Amino acid sequence: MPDVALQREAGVVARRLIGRDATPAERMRYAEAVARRGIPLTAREARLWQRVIAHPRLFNSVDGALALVRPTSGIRQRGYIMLAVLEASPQHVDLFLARERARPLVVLSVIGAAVAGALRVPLGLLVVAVTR
Amino acid sequence: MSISATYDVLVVGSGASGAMAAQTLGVEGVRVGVVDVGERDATYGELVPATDFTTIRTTDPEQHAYFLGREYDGLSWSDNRVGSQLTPPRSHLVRGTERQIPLVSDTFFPLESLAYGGLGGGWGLGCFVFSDEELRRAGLPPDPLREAYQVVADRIGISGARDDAAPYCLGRLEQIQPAPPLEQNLEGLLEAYRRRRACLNHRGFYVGRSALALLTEPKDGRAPTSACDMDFWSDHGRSAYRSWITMDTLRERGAIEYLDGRLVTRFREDADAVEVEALRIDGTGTERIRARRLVLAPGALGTARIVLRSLDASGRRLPLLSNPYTYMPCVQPRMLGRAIAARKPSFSPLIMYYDAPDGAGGEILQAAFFSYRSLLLFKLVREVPLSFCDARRIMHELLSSFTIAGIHHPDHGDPSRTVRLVPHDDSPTGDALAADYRLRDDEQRRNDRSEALFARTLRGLGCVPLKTVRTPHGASIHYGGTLPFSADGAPFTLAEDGRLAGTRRVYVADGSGLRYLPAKGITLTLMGNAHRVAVGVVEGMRDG
Repeated sequence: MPDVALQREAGVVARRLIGRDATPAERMRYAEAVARRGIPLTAREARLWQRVIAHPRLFNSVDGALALVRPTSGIRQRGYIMLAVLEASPQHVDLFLARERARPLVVLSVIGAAVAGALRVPLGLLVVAVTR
Repeated sequence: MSISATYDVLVVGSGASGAMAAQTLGVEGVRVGVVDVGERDATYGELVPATDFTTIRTTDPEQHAYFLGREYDGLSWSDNRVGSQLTPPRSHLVRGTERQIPLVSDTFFPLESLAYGGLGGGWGLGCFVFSDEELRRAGLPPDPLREAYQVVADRIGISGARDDAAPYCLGRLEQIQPAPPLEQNLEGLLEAYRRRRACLNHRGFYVGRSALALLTEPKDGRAPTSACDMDFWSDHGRSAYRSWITMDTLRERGAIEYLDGRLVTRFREDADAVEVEALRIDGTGTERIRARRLVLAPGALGTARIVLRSLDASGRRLPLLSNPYTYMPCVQPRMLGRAIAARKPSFSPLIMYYDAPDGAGGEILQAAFFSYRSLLLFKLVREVPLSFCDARRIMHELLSSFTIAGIHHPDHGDPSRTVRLVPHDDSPTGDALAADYRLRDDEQRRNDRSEALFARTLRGLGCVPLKTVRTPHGASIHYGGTLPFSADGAPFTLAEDGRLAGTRRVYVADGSGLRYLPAKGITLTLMGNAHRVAVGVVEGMRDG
């Protein structure tokens, strides 16, 4: 039976990644995948991870900061696994398959996401720096 | 050790070269044995539904089992971008290689296979006829190869179009099936080329449909492609040519005997025959197989292992060729927000060639285009230096306009690029292949120039490269040159007919003999050469 804490963690990560809850089956898959892939966290990463799970609003900022300074960290790998589990599920297919949309809306959306992503980074870097 | 079997010809390996050689030998009526390890997929074959990608994605609650893998092996996190197209249903292609045929290197990261049908099971299906000049540089005789190309094309089935790309990929091949459908993203790129065709041709650029070993019409019990965009995950209908299809057919007809579960380690020649030593993979020991002729086709690296052991030359360095491979993710702004067609093949349907207009003897360069969809978005999202949340939103919006250009660079060889056998305690053979592969500065500069040339032209066609990703050496999965063709009969070379120097009965039918790899896929040429070598083996046996 996969770790219950991992399943709880899956719910937090899914909400931050796509703004939706993961289904029980998706949580189970995340827990299984993390257990099978054996993704170790360093002591510092473990403290950072505890912090973002306790304060989920920090998740995307920390993730964005790590994408720049430590893209292969265990925390990034856990986010990657959750994203893959969510994609390989018919429930969230609208968030992963191409859709028809007016080009100006697409451009605005891309710019918006890029700006939001950039703005998150300073806070994330601060959290990463103070977590020792 | 007793002799377990005796054949007229024993073929080692069932991949693209081995299967094609076996077919040629089998139809000539000689007693043929094919020996290899024969790893197979026992998990995913029945799991992937025979329908299109969009339907699967929207309806199948069990899709995670094959998209991510039963053991979540599709979630591998590695900076090494080798074999990213090896989805969980293709993972058996490389199963067992680390243990059975280890390779140690800090600079070279090849893919090898012990599977039934070899790496042909994951082939991208691109068919490229070498020009006469390319054949000569590679050490291959143009006239027999041209005939061999047609024989192979008739066997495997090739689709394509007689357009501007045809001289570079189809050559003079006949009986070509129509090209598969082209989805609108790449149609947009082709349309942009057509509008600027005269100008681009003047500069030496040609764009057209790829030649693919993909059926668009029925052939030999195989179905035309359903263009369901699931080609990286399943082989439904057998429309994509795989070497195991040839092996299955030959076995059904009784044209060959297939000996699986055996890793050939060495050979020994005596007055009457060749004796091969093979390790049984189930750990039950070693056996010997005799044959009047031996045809080695386990791939250039596998052949190097067997030859070095057999000739007691473990310290000897053999040359190594491999195409450096670069890909450029691109966005076509004019395609933003358009839906992707539900029906399309996954393989590269469009190709661009650069043929220097001044005729200065420069090489033909090639970029193959793919629309990215069925390998799933999460792998792309990882490449964006933002949080996964923001990166997903961006890549989701860009997906419909996303194109990947894959560029192969040529390899003329260099004395510093070598393989050799070294002791290795964990290997069942007690050795490992050690490889060194580095580009010289002038080669890297030449490749940089080629990439810049394509990037500039793509921008002119409204296709904007976002990034240039140079994959680790070996990622092209094109290897050769370990036993180069040579007329002087020097040790560790091949005669033009594929016979290993210093032997009378040992032939090599894979890419070991190639002295040069042009900037294009080599699989069709490997199959053509294997057919040519097998024809020579049969003729030699008839002549006694």
